Amino acid sequence: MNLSNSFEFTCPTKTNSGNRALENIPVELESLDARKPLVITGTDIVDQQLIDIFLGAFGNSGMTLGIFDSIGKNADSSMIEQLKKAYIDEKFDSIIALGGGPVMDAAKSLNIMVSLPTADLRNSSATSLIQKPLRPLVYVPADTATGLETSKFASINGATLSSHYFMPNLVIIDPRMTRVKNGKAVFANTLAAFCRALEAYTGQDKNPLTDSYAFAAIQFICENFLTLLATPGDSKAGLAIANAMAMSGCAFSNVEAGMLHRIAQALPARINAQSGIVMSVCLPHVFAYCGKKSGYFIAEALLPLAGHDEYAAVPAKQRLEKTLKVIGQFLTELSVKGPERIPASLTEAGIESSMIDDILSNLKLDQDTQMNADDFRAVLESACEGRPVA
Amino acid sequence: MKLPGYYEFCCSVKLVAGHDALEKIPSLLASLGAKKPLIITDKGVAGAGLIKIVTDAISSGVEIGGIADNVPPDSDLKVVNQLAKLYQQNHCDAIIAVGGGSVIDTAKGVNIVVSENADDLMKFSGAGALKRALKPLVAVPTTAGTGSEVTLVAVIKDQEKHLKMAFTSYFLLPNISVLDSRMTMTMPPFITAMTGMDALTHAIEAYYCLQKNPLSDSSAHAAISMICKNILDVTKNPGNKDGRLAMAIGASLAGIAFSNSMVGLVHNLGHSVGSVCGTPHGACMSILLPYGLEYNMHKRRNEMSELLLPIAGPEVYKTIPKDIRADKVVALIRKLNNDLHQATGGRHARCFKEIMDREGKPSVPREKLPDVARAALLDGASTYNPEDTDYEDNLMVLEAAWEGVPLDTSRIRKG
Amino acid sequence: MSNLVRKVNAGEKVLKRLYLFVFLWFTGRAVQAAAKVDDQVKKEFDAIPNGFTFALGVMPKGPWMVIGKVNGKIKYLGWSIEGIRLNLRLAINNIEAAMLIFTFQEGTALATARNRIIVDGEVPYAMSVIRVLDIVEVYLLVKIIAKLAVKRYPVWWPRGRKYVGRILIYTRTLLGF
Repeated sequence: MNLSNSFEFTCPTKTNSGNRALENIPVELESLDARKPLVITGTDIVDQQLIDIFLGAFGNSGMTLGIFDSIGKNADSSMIEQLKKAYIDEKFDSIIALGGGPVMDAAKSLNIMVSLPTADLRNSSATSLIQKPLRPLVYVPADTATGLETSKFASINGATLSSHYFMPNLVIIDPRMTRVKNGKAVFANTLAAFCRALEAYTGQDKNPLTDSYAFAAIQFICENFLTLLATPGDSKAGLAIANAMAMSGCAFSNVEAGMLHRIAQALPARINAQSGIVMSVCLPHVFAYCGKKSGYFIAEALLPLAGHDEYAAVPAKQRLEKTLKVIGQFLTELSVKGPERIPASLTEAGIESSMIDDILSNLKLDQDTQMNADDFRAVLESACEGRPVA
Repeated sequence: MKLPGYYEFCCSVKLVAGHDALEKIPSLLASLGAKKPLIITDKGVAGAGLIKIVTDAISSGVEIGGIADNVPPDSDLKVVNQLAKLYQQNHCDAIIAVGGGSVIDTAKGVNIVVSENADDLMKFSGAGALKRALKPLVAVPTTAGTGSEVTLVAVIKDQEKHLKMAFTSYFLLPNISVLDSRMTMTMPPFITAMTGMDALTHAIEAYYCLQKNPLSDSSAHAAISMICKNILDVTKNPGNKDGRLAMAIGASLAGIAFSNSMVGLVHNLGHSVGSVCGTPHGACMSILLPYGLEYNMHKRRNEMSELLLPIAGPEVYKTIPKDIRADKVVALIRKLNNDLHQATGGRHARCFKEIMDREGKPSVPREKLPDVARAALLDGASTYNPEDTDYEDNLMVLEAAWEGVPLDTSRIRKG
Repeated sequence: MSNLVRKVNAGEKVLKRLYLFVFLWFTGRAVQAAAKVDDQVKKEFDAIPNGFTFALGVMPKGPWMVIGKVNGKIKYLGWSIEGIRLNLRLAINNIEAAMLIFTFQEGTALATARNRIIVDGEVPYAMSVIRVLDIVEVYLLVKIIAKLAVKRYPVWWPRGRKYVGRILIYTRTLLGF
C-alpha cells in the first residue's frame, strides 16, 4: 500500500456476533443510555417465527419495546412520518432494525427524523446538518441482507444519502436469525458484497483499516458461501456470511466506490438483472484491466482468496494471474452449485454492447479522478463479449 | 478465518493518518462542534519540539485554550483533577492529547471530569458509571506505541494512596486519533525499539488469546506485518518518514487488536515486573514475548504457525514445514530482540538480567522474582491467557526470562 | 400507544431463574464450606480484608450469591443484593448468559473473555474470587463436567484432598455450617 497517501477511517459500529447475541441487547442499549427501543421490521421480509425468537430474547430484562412490523419491500415515506410521530409521542429512545434492505433504510431515515426533527430528507444536503451522533440505532440481520446496512448509505425516497452518522451503533449477528431458508435469497446479494469487499481490498484508496474488514469479509465468503448454498440450514455458514455482509458494508463506507459497484448502479432502469450478478460477470474483467494499471493491488487479493499457504507458494510475479484464476474458478463453482447461473458475459445477462454509451453517461464521469470513460468502455466491452481473462 | 462461537468487536475511533495529518485537526474538531481545545502533554514531548509542530499546524484553524505539559511519567489523579479545573476556567470545548500512554490516559481522565461537570475523578470508577458521550477528545500519539489512542481503558494512579485505578468504558475512546509521522521522528533508537516491541506484543497476544475474533485477527495480522517490516530499519534510520508512519499505523492496529481481544501471560507478568521493579513496560514485553508463545504453544500451535507469514514474509513462510512454523516464530522473535540489541548499542535488553537502571544497577534482581510471580496472581490479564497459570508457573517463566534461556516446555502443566 | 406500533412487555423466564437460584444458593454455601475445608481457599480469603462483601449473579434482577468476610469468617449472605454495600460485583449480563455458564457450556474464563461477565470492583480481589470459584467447582463437580468449567483441571491434587474435601464440602453445604 502507498503510505505516502494519507487516509481516514471511521467505523462507529460495535459488533456482537454468535451464540445468544440477541440477549445482549438490553445491556448494550443500557450502555448507550437507552431503555425503550422501537423495533421496526416487516413480516414480508422477516419470518414471524424469527420475530418471535427476537422478542423472546428480551425475557427477564424488564424492558418494554414497541414493535412495528409492516415495512414492505419499498420503504414508504408517509409510513415513516407516522412512525416518527409514534416514536416522539411514546418517548422511545432508540431504534432496532430487525432485517435488512428496506427495513434498515427505513430505520436510518426514521433515525434522522427523530434525532433532527426539522431535517427535510427530500433535500440531499440534509445530512450535512448532522453535527453529532443520532439516537442509538441497532441492526439485527435476518436471513436476507444487501451488505449495505452497516454502510454510511441509506436509500431514502429513491435517492441515496450518505453520512457516517447513518452507520448503526450496534450490529447483533445471532445464528438463530441468520439461518438461511434457501440459496436464492442470498445469492446475488452475497456476490455483491463479495465484489465490494474485493474492490475495497485492492483499490487505490485501500488502507490498513479498510483491509481488516475487507480481508475478513472475503475470507468468510470464500470459506462458507458454497457450504451455505449446499446446505442452507447450516447455521455456522449462515453466521459467517452474515458477518461478511456486515464487514463489507463497513469497508465500503471508507473507500471510493469501485468500478464494479458503479457499473451496477449505472445500469439503465429497464435492465432486470440483479446488481450482484452483473458485478460478478464484470469482476474478472475489471480485475484483469486494473491489474495492469499502477496504483491497484489486485494481486494482493490472493491472500484472503486462497489462504496463507497458497499465497506464499506463488512467486510475486505470478500472483495476478493466480488471483484471476482463483476468482474464475470460484465464480464457476458458484454458478454450478448456486440457484442460478452466473452469465458468461454481459450480453447473456441482457446488457448489449449498444447500451455501453447509456451506461457511461449514467456514470457521471466528469467528476471522476480515478477512472475515465476509456477505462470503463474497455472493461464493459470485454465483459459484454465475455473475453477470457486468465 | 476462525469464527468464534461468540465475539464482540468495537473500534469507533476515527483514524486519520499521513505525513501531514495534524493540519486536519481544526476541521475535524469543527465537525464535532469544537473550536477551543486544551492541549495536554508532558515535558518530554514539549522539550522535543513536538508541541510546536502541533500548534504551528493547527493555530490558524482553532483557538488554543491552553497548553498543559505537567503530566508525570505515570498518570496522576491530582494532575487529572487540576487539568480539569484548567479546562473549565479557560472555557475549552475539546482536548488534544499529545504524548504517550500516560498523557493519553490522563486526558481520558480529564475528559471524564469535565464532561460530567464534576470535581473528582474517583466518583466514576465503577463499571457502567459513564452513561453518555464525553467531550471531543483527539489523541496524537508520540510513540509507536502503547495503542492507548484506540483503547477504552484509562489507568490513573492515586499517588497518595498508592492505588492504580482502571477506568473502562467505550465512552473513553478518543473521537479521533491522528497518526502523523512527524510525531515519532525524534524518538531515539532505544525507545523506538522498546515501544515497537510493545506494539508487536499487543498484536501477537491478541492473535492467540481467548477473546480472539475475525476483526482483531485481521488487524493483528496487518499490524505484525507492518511492524516487522519496519522496526529494525526505523531503529537504525530514525529519519525514515515512511517507516515512522508505518510503525505508528502498525501500533494503532495492534492497539485495536488487543483492545478487542485482550492480552495474556506476557502482559500479566510484564505488568508485575513493572509494578515490583519499576522496569519500563516495553522492555518487559520484548523479553517476555517469546516465553508467552512457548508457554501457550501446546494450546495454540496452529494460530502461532499462521503468524509466520506476517512476521517473515511469503518467501520464508513457504520454506518452513507446517509442524515447525510456530517454533520458527519464536526463534525469529528472539532474533529480532538480538538485532535490536545490536542496533541500539546494547541498550535493548534480551533478558531481565541485562536490564540496568540509570545507575547501572540491575533493574530486575533475581531475588525479587518470587514477589513478581505473586503479584501476577492479582492481575486480570491471566484470565485471557489460553493456559492457566499459578505461582509456580509464573516463577518458572520469570526465571527463564531472567536468564535468557528458552522455556523448558516439559515442565509446563498442560490443561 | 398509537395503532401503528404494538407494545410488548418482556416476559419472564421462570424455570431458568429457579435453576439459577438453586445453583447460586448451593454454590454460595459451598464457598462458605470450602473456606473451612480447603487450605488454598483459606489462603485466598486471608488476603481479603475483614468486612469485604462480594456478589456473583444475573442482571438485571438477580438471583445473586452474596458472600462476606464477617469477623474473619467467610459467610454466605443470601441471594439478594438489595441494601448491601458491595466491594466487588461479578454481574452476568443476562439470564441466557448465566445459563451458558451454569450449565457449563462456557467456562468462567471463556465467559469473561466473551464479555458475558462484568467485573465491578478491584481486579485483584476479582482474581481471588474466580480462583476460589474454580476450586469449589472442582470439589462440587465430577471431573468430566468440571473440566468444562475450569481452564485447567488440577490433575496433580492428591486423591485424598479431592475426595475427602468433596465429602466435607457437600456435607457442610447441605447442613449449612
